Amino acid sequence: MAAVPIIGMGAVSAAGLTLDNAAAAVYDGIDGLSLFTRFETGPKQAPRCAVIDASNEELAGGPVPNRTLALAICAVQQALASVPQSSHLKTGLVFATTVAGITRSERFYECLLKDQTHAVNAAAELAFHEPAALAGDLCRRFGLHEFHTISTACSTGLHSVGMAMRMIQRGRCDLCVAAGADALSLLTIRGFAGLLLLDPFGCRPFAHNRAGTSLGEGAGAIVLASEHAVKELAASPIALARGWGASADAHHMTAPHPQGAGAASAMRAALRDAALSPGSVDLIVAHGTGTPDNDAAEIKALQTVFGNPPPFCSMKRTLGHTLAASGILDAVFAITALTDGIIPATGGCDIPDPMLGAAPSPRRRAALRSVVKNAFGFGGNNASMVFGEA
Amino acid sequence: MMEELIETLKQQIITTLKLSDIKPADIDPDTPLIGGNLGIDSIDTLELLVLLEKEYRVTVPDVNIGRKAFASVRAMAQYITDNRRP
Amino acid sequence: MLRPAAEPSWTNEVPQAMRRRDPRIWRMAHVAVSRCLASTGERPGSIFAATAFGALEETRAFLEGIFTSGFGSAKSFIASVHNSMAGKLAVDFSIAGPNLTFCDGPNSLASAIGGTDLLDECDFPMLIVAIDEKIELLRTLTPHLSPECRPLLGDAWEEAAAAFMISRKEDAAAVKVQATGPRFIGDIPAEDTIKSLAAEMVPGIGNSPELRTDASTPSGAGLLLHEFITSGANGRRIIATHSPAGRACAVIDVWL
Repeated sequence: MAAVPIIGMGAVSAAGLTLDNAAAAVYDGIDGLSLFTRFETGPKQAPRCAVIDASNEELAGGPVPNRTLALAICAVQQALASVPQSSHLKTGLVFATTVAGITRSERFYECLLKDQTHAVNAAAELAFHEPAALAGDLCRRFGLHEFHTISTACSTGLHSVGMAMRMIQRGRCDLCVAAGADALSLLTIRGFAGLLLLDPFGCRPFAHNRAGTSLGEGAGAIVLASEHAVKELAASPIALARGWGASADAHHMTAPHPQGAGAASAMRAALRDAALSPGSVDLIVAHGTGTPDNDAAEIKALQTVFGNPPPFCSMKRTLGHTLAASGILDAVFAITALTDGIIPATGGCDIPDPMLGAAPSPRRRAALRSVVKNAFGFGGNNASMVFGEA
Repeated sequence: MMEELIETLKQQIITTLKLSDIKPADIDPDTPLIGGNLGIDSIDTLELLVLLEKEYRVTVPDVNIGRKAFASVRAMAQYITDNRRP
Repeated sequence: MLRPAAEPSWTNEVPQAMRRRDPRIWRMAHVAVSRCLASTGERPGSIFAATAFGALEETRAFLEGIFTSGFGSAKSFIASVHNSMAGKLAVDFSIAGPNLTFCDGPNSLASAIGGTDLLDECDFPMLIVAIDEKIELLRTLTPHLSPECRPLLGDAWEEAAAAFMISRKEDAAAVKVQATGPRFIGDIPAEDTIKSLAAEMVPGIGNSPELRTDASTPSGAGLLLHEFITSGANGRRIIATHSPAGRACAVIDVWL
């Protein structure tokens, strides 16, 4: 299947409100985490999270009742800013989220339990609970047409890019926006803490004695276009989406397959789709959450597919683990790294774990032609994509 | 003291995890909890985290410490004893 | 029409361990898939799930724990992500291929069927599961919602789990299915808009009895699909759905 041109990208994260502002911080592996104090998170010390210092209104350029939606609007706005308008080209959407409107509905539920609903406008609190409601709002704002809303936990954002690529390849639309967004919520912070998945001091991907991940809020968006649309818009492709692989571990609901079998299978499928050999990959932007299990399984998967893995990195210390957004948010910076010719540092990896048999690369310049991005979610859901130079 | 705590823990584990067909005598304090004869998996030990926090006011800061603390019933008892605030 | 799920008998169709502690929505999905696999000798290679609310009862239980005692159950949290049903099915039935969950409200089943078209790995059949559980919380929320959302809640729909296996292989004797959408319409989709979308797919469908617009959840759409397939009827059925929350429509076309 032919590679699909990427003609626009957007990102909003703790590293910066726009893609350009954030890229340097990502390449340097800057610590994007801070103590989370936006609301009370429970009896343990407040976790370190990647927080965006901007209101919903600042993010979206106007009042928006839901943070996840505000983040999504911000990223999509940036991605479409460089895409000329066209009235007769159909633009689709694949939208990814885990949290959706839970940031408001969890508060409403608290009021319900405490018998305080008279003080609250329920319709307003619940209006954006469903992922589809957010997708619908994006369609309305940006003139989008056919869409799919998907939710597969931490792999969703990357699947949205793969699906958008297919929408173009199958001729379903001329342009397709892939977007992923997630805000920080009491549900996810307490949920991850209760699963012992958080490192109270901040994630240290691939490091010795790493102890968990760190959550973040953020959104990423990528605009893909058919060859016909590229010509019609006289657009300059930034990069190419070359391959998509998807698999399930079918092993356990939270722990990854210890040998990374599902992850390896997804990477192989992505490479097959791209018609690329493992030897042609110059950089891997890992899922690299910093949990003992994920990082160990992911390295095993890399070794299975690549033998001696090419340079790899994780962006989680800088961007946080932004759940459904992470697959696409990290992918945006994987693509900028590709085009800028920079292998990013891995923030938080002070001493690489010798037991892994491979260590992330230090920051350096390199000629990069193809990059692989991985994203793995709860329930053993695996996504992998290959991006190439335009 | 430790033996008393172990016996109490056995009953609390049965109740918390709703192991209706297990009796305290069936639980060996030194056998690994996960993958042992009780049919408990790693997600079940996370439910025991709540037990530790609620009943004993003991927290587990991260997964590395958690794996040691939930290795066996005796390990749990030891962790509680070491970390209990007076 | 409300028909209570016959719980005592169907819970015998799940493994012992699942009966003891697993969420009810997981058990519903398990039974539907189990029966689907038993009806065919083939093994699926991928899972496409469709759900409007996901495992909302688990989300509710987790939050209730946090807000009342200060502690939430780890199991409830794990189950509360929208794709937990699909993930559990992959584990239980050893399905290691692509696994996607579509959350487009009432349009989710059409979205999932359309989604199968986007995957290349079609050597193996694809499993589609539409599932929603009716919980007390949804009834409680109904009075608080705007009128446009009320048909989604309250008593106007049946909870269900419906599972189907589809294949790309040519087979003249088999039922065929295809889907369009979800497509953003702009306003809250009116009956006319839904009918014209259906007519775009199947010219002349108009006011035909073959057009059904009474499915307000993906599991409801699944039941209409299931009813058509098992009735052994020739002809076709068009299932058109619409979502107030997303201002979108979708259509499933099934025929023999």
